[in-house]
Amino acid sequence: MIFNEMFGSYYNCVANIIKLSTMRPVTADDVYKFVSYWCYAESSAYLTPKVLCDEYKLIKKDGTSPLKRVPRMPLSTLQKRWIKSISEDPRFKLFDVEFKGLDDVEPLFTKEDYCTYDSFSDGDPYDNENYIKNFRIVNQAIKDMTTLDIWVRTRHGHKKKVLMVPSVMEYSEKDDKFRVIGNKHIINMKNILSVSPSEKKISHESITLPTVSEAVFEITDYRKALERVMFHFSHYSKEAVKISDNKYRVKLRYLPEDETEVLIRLLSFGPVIKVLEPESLVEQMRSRIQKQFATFFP
Amino acid sequence: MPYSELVKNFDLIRDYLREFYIYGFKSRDGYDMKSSRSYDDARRKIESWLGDNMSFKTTKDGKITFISIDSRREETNPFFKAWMSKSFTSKDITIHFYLLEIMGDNEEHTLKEICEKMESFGDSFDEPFEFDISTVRKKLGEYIDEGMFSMRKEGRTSYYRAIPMTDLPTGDALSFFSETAPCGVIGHFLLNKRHRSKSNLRFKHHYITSVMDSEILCMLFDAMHKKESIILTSLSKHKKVEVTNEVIPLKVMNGSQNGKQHLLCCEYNSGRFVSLRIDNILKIEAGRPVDYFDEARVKLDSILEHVWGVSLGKTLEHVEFDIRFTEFEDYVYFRLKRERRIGKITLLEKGLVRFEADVYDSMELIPWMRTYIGRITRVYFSNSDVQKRFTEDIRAMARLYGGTENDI
Repeated sequence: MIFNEMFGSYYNCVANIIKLSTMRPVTADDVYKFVSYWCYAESSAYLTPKVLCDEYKLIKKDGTSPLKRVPRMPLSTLQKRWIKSISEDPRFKLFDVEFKGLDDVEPLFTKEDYCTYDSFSDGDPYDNENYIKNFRIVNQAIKDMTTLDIWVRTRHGHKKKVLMVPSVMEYSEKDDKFRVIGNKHIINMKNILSVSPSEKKISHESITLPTVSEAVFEITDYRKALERVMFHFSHYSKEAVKISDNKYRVKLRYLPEDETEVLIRLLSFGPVIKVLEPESLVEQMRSRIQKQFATFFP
Repeated sequence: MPYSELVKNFDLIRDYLREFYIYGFKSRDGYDMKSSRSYDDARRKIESWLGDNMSFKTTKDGKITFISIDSRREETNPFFKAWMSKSFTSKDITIHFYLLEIMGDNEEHTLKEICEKMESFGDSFDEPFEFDISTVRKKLGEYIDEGMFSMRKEGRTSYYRAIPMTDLPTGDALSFFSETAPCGVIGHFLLNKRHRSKSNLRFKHHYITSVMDSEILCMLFDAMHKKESIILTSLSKHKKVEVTNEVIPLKVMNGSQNGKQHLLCCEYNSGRFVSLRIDNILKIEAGRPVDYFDEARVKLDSILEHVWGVSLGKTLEHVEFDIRFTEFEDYVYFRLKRERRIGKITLLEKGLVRFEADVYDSMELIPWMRTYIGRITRVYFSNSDVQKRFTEDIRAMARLYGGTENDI
């Protein structure tokens, strides 16, 4: 069972409190800090030093515990099977990991059991040695905040050097691509020809996504439109209101760089969506639709 | 019963989480599936788990609760917190940590030894720890079932020991696959065992609701692994009724562009291949061994050569359309090339490309084809209803955006 208290917030929190008690007596402040980190907004009312002592009988009044070992929970069969499954994924090689002790473990799922059917076909080359090498250098540089010289192939086939302290790596399952982001650059990992630490040093800029744009559109709920639209756009921050029996108004927040993508995704819903704002998006919708209308109904 | 922020049954919360996140426009009265009390209870719990991700607004219909998350900005899936909210008794947690202490020496222990040690730990407290031997035996059985402990018998005595630890993957690998692999919440639990550090990873186009179906997915994988049928109860959203059927689960199809997961399966009695939304599955019970499981999978794979998304069928339909692009718009051609899936594309002349496919359900292609609106010079569906739908929708869209009825 996945939904099991053994993997829950409270058990994790208590394991860390016991771990601390093997080094020094635990204070009420320690308990509060662990609860704030591991548990929920109201947990400090339920998980207190008194509860740990009187009810759970794990931490004594003086902050010590009769338990002297750091709690270490063996892996469950399900966890091992999941690890075995991910270790068979081609992307696993990117992370430079070796495993022992899973030879006789059956995977939880295989590529015959589970498949993503709609990713784009020009995904990253996870078996390419140069790609793997570049990925690992960039990944390490994010941790060490190292300045890198990154040689990339541009859209027009030219070579270009980018100086960057990478901040994060972003993955899209739809594109099946990694992008490295830093110092206002976004580079497709696949386009990196070579990467190495730079002799120059530039300052690290923590990643801040730009201010969002807002699109407002109306959904007319027929052909199960509401369900389809809301699911489709669920990964964006959004707000929805019902404005009449079968009409809903949605405010969707997106990054300006994604406007074309948002536009074609809105188009894909056909006449169940009407874009109201911003005017630039409405105009692009109108222009494409009128052009198509003129072709079909000359 | 006093309020608790933990829950016994995840299913009680699964629907509310999805409703608050996907839709987020209903007031308390709009939730007809549960009582007002259960709504209040669920809302308070979810608010406690998700904190700032939970939002409220007031409308003429009342207070609206919704979850607003831009998943691109999140390090980890916020819904993992819900999976860590299982309730337990004081005895459960006490025995858990006493057992980890005792078994932590990696030696064998009898039940009697274990109980004696537990008693000695309990003696450190003002009120002794009260337990009975059958509770401890039952608990040990649970840990054996989970694969954490093993037991061997010698005569009438049982010896228990912890299974030796296995190395864990690096935090980066766990962070990545906990967000991208099926049942990723298992990876999140593993990350919790490590010293937590900031993740280098972010995720674009990241649908986070499928994690709510992790338990269902596990049961499906288990049945596939054993090559067994299952008795599946699912909710027909259209009819709003529960349907129970014996099926042979064959494959889970994940949609990276809509966040939906479907089970492709074969009905045990009719032999018909069907596609079911996984988030509509309510219950799964074990069925029976299926000796033709491999053959059914081969047959399904041959069907999938003509499936655009997840809709299965018996009769093939032809679809083709042509797209025009200028000499500065090669990206349109490359886009079509990477998005074509089972379709074929042919460059008819400079700046004119044709897509064609034979599929079981040509209606499934319509949303994707609409993304090329403005460039399509010709479209043909062998299914005349679909042809009509596509072209009439263009007329309806034009009506929405421009001029008067007479203009268009």
